[in-house]
Amino acid sequence: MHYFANPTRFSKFSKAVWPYITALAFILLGAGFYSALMVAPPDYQQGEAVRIMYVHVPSAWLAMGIYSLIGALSALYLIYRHPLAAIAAESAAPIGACFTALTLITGMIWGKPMWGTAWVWDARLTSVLILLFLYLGYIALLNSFNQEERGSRAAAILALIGFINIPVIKFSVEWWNTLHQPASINPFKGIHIDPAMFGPLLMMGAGFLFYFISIWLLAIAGKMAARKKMRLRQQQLWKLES
Amino acid sequence: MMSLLSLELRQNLRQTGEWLQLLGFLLLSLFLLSWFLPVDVLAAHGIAFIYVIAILASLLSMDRLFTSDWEDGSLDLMLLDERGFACRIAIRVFAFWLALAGSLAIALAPALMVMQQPLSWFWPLLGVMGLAALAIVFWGALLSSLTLGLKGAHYLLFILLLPLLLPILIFSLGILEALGQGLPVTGPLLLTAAFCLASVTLSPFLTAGVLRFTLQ
Repeated sequence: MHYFANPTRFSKFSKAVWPYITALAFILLGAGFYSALMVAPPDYQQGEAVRIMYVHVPSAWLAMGIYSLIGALSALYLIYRHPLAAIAAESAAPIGACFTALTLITGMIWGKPMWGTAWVWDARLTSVLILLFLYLGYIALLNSFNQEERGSRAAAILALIGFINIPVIKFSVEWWNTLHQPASINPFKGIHIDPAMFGPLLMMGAGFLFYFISIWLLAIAGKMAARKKMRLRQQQLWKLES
Repeated sequence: MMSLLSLELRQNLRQTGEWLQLLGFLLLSLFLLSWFLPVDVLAAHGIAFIYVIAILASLLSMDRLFTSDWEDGSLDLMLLDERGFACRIAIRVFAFWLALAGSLAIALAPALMVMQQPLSWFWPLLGVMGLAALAIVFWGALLSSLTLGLKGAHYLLFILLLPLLLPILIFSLGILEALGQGLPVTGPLLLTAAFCLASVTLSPFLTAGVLRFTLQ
């Protein structure tokens, strides 16, 4: 990991792997969408509507996973003061917010025919909504400072404080009685989902993950370029003044 | 330590206008609610209305915890005492909580009357509010140190604090619900108390760290 902490080396590496990751993302997403919409069987109770799951579940995984990633990167930034960690965390935030919004929207579309209501104020739905607010608060706090470094630090601390919400979301379906079902896929308790559905779901999950990595690397490169541009402009101004 | 506490408390109580504003906001919004809502709704949900509006009112007053001291530079003076800084902050936040709980206690009896609730609710409601307010002021201290000196600090603080406080709101409303139905309150009470304890013990150190960085 120390090897990639050097920004030049990191951008070289990410430029080299980016085409492969992007290609992999599109192949997986294409195959995943095909097998989820065409090959996978309809549910015996929910019929064709179950196919929303292939978007809802992977985006929920990513919504929580990206927040955990931001938390880990923020801790790294606060401990080692390495700007690359802050840049990586900050460029993941808008993407995570989009996946959280996607989770909520697909959940509402799915809930309307299945539960009879698009929204209930129960533990799982509320805690995912809080996750969306945390993402938005993080982005708002980040952008309200004049000094870059103060904003990065404040946002990193906020991300770590907000991290207590992640286990609350994860276990909300087990701690409280809610309308939302408990997780069907648990590495410790086994997989309670038919292989014919699990295969496409896994493919979609991997596709979403690689898609996230692809746009995340782009966002990091963009942010690094923007900072470099600002530094150069500052240097030019100093030269003009002196 | 006691003299510091009484100093902070006196400073807090001298800002009469701020506390009057809080009381005014609380009573006025409850009065408007009771004006527009039908009596059976008031009787069923009056306690929850009082509770939520009291929490909102205490959130509104959070952002001036450090602002004036930051502006006139006395926060820098406090920072000179490296080791005692976190303790100093804890005392200040605790004094703020005492003043907040005191003003909520003053407002509570009229609020209960406006919302047509029996006065026997006074002590339980005050206890639960005080406990929740303890967590709120300590979290709020941390977040107001993060947003110190920002332009929209008032609103930003409100937006950031609300999602973080949702667990404590859920647990403390659980206490009130159990009280209303005559069920045992031990479970939600312990959860609320644990949350309060964690925020009281962790927040002063984090707040001190953030302020130290901000003022450098």
